[in-house]
Amino acid sequence: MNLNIAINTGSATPIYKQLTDQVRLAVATGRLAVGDQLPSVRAMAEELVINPNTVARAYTDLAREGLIESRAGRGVFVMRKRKMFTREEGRRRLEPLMDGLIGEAMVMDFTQEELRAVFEKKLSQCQRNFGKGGNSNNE
Amino acid sequence: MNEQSVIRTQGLTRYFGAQPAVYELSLEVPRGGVFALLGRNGSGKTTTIRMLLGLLEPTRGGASILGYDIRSLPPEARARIGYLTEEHQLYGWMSVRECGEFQSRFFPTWNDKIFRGVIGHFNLRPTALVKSLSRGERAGLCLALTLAPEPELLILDDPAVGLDPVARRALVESMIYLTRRSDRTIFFSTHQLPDVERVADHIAVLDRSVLRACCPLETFRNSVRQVRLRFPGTPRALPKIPGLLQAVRSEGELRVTCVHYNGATEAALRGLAPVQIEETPISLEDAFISYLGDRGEKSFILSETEAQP
Amino acid sequence: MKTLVRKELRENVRLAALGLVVHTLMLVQHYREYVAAPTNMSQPLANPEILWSTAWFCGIFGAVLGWLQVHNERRPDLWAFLIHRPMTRTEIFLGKVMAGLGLYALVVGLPLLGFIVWARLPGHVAAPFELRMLRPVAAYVLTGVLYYFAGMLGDLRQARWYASRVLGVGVAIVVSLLVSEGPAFWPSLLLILIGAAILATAVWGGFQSDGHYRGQPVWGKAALTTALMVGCLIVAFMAAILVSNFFPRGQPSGMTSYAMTTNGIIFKSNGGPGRSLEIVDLEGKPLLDEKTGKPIDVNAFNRRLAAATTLEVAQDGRPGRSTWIQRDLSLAIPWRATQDTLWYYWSRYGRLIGYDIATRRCIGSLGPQGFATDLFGRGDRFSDAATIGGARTLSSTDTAVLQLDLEKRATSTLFTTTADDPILAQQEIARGDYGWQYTMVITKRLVHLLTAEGKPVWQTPYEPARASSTVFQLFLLEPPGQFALWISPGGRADAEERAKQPAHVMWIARDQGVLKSLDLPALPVPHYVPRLEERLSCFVMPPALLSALPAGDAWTWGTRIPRELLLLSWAGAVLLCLPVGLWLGRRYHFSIAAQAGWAVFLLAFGVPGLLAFLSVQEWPAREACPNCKRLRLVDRPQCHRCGADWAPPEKTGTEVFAPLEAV
Repeated sequence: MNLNIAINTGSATPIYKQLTDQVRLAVATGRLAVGDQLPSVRAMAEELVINPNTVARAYTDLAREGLIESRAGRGVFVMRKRKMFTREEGRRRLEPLMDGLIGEAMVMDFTQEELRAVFEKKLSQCQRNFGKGGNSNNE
Repeated sequence: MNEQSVIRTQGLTRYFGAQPAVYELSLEVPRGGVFALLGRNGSGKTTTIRMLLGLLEPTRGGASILGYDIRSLPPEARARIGYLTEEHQLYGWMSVRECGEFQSRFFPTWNDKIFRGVIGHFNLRPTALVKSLSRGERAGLCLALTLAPEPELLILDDPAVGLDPVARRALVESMIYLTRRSDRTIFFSTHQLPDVERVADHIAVLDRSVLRACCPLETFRNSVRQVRLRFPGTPRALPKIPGLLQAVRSEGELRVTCVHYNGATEAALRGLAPVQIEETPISLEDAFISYLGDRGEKSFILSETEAQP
Repeated sequence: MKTLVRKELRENVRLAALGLVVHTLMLVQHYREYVAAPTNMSQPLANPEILWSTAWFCGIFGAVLGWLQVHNERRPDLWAFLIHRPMTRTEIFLGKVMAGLGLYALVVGLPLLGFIVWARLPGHVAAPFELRMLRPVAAYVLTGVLYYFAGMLGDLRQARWYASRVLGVGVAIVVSLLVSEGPAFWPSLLLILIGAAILATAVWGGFQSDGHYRGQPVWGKAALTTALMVGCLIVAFMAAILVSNFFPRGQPSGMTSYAMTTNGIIFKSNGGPGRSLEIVDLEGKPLLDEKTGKPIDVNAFNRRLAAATTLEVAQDGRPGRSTWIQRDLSLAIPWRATQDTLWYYWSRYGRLIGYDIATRRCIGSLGPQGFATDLFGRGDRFSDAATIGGARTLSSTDTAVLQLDLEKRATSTLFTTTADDPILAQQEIARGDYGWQYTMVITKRLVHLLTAEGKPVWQTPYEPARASSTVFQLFLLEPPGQFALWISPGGRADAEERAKQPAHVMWIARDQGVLKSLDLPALPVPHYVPRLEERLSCFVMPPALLSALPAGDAWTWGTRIPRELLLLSWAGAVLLCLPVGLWLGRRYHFSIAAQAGWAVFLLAFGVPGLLAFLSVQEWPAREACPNCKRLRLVDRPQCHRCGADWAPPEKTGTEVFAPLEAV
């Protein structure tokens, strides 16, 4: 498992959110596959030199999202992503994120073509994992 | 003595001369976890800690630590509390090993493995004399002496002052190591916000001898928000906003930092008719500085007369 | 505890080593001084030099050691390191004291022990020794312990006025003085014990509260206040003396005294400030110089005075008042040195003990019945009266005066008397230029004058004075063979008492006995006017102390304090100290018990008590009450006027309070 999590203090993002974001990204980019074991709360805390309660909170949030699952006595594992939202719900959540992204790009004076190019590039990077990883939103 | 609070203060007050250093401090520190006491220099942190350890008599008010009244701490209380002072002072003529031997004879729960482990972690030679150690090495020795008896409650007064980054990291690692046991509590005062971000569960903020915040760390972060308003021209004067910490006006922009940002606050801000209101995320350090800094409005707009060369 | 003691020993070992070296050098110096002068007749273990050096060394070393033991943890964080361990503060205090006193005993005792061993080895010291002679040194060693605690107190106390740290030494100084001048040994030891208890309790109290006054147990507070009060007493006294130096001195009143000329006539001399000495006869007529016709010049008058020998004999034969230290140092009095022998009078054996100068060993003793090679002889003793009088060629028992020949180590009887008329004193009178040599012997009922060979010249009965001692003055008049014997009350009796007794003068001729006798009325005691420094210093003295003084003595005015000075002292207490104390007590809302206690204290101890009161109290600040707006003390949770609590901290609207989750 090549999970490389780095957290920054002094960032506007709380540490637990940095953790959840990075785990999510790792799952999205395929660095973490379904069934991979995450370090225990204690181990993660001592490696990152942060409070175990912060790690516990991050893990709880991820578990609530359905991304990971804690199996008694065995550890914490990446889960097959269960369907959390309906399509409409999902779109409703997606569109503000896209608004924000496009708005930022416009403020930064990107043209539509440039933005599309970046978007395509990023998409292709994650392409392989959209099919794998069990994100079967077709269910 | 297995209460849920290891420290409980009630109206704890201390005057030096006519000035209060700590005024009507009432807080409770729950068992387990890490509690950080924050505040500017001279806000009363060291005074509070001294009072809690029975080294300074309160002017009025009281407190209890591990259930014992602070005005009469018995020896068995002191056996269960570890105290790391700010100056890391020890007897200069002792060697590192002698310090360990000296302390070990007093504390029945002394764990020499921990002592040697921390000493080794800081690369201290057992035969080195204390007076030849650097500030950081002395801090490491003091930490070893404080951790070795495995105290139930660990009180650290600004432990990271004067430490180099490696030593500071070792300190934070030791604190995290201590949290392995859920009945151990750490209470420390500090200026190092990155460390607070890493290890603290709860914080309390002292501002000029008065307690202004006592909550989980995340609650504090969530309470302090920064909002950016954009205006076509120079923004108007700000109305009275409850919970306002800072407002900085500059060309076409007004940045407001406030506590408990809610609908009423938003409505008041919208009343200024800005082009855009947007919340900007803020780091713990910036939140803290706004919280304890000068309050009110600041203006950085250059007036036309000044702009003339 | 053992660990703490060991740490303290280790921490202060350098000071101890330094002290050991210094003390040893001081004693080595004594040794060298003694050995350099073989005819030196002092006992090195019991002479003023060793007392001085012991007193100063023990005091200074004790104070420095005590101060250093506390100063080692001067910095607050190191003090916190010491206190924050599973030991009560009393145990920490005891640990430090045990180590400190142990080092003190070592540094003071070891060199002294070595010195004593050297002195006691036969062949080193040619002087008598008995264990009692070590009591003064022992007393000063014990007094050093007070300085030790005073040193600790000096650095322990959180004192507002930095100079007030020194005040603790006051008790040590007072005890040192009282021990030096005290009348008896065991009361002095008791005094040392009391002083040590006071200072040790003050230090113990300081340990309980990190040097503050407020948090101490009540015994600690009492001891601290007492110790500071004694220190303030000394400071106030010295300040009063200093201040009075800046003012013009009061004029002492005039003095009158008697004098006798060589033709046996008594004159009175009146002197006074601004007046020259006036000589008048008993009728009051001024004495005129025959040549000039004017009143006689003082120097010319002095040339006409008759020579006199004085003997003071205590009422019960014991030597006059002296301190116990003087007595212990005089257990063996140096008598005389002959060519090869040092002779001492050892009151323990009542004999003259001789030490050979060369071998430094005791060669034997001389008693009334002659010489013996041991110390006892046949149990024959001289009487202690033998030591009165300066002559070293005579000695006496109760019934005989003996002439001593130390070279031949023999005695010969000069004069005997009966057992019911024992000898009280004898004195050799020699007037070299006249070739007179007499011996005066005073027995219980008679005064005898003998020739040098012991033949009686005259004797006369006398009335002993009703005082603690009688003073005998024998005037040698012209022509030879004419004498005058003047008997007057002596001692340090109350001047007023003495003034009521007449002196008795007898004119005696060699072959005719008493020619004339006269009772001289006592001269009026000059009215005592207290000097300015006495007034000022009594103003700052505790009334309790002055009122209790008649129990002791050693005052220039006799045994009673003049009423005026006593009133001054009480005035200071009542008019100044008590009102200030009451006002402060009201202002800071002392409890009734505290106010009453302090009132009694200030009344009894006056200005030093007030200074101590101001030194120890830590005055809390006063702030306006949020409810009734009047000033109230910040250390009381409820307002004493309206009972309101304090306002909670002001809310700015930016407070963030949330429940803390138990982890």
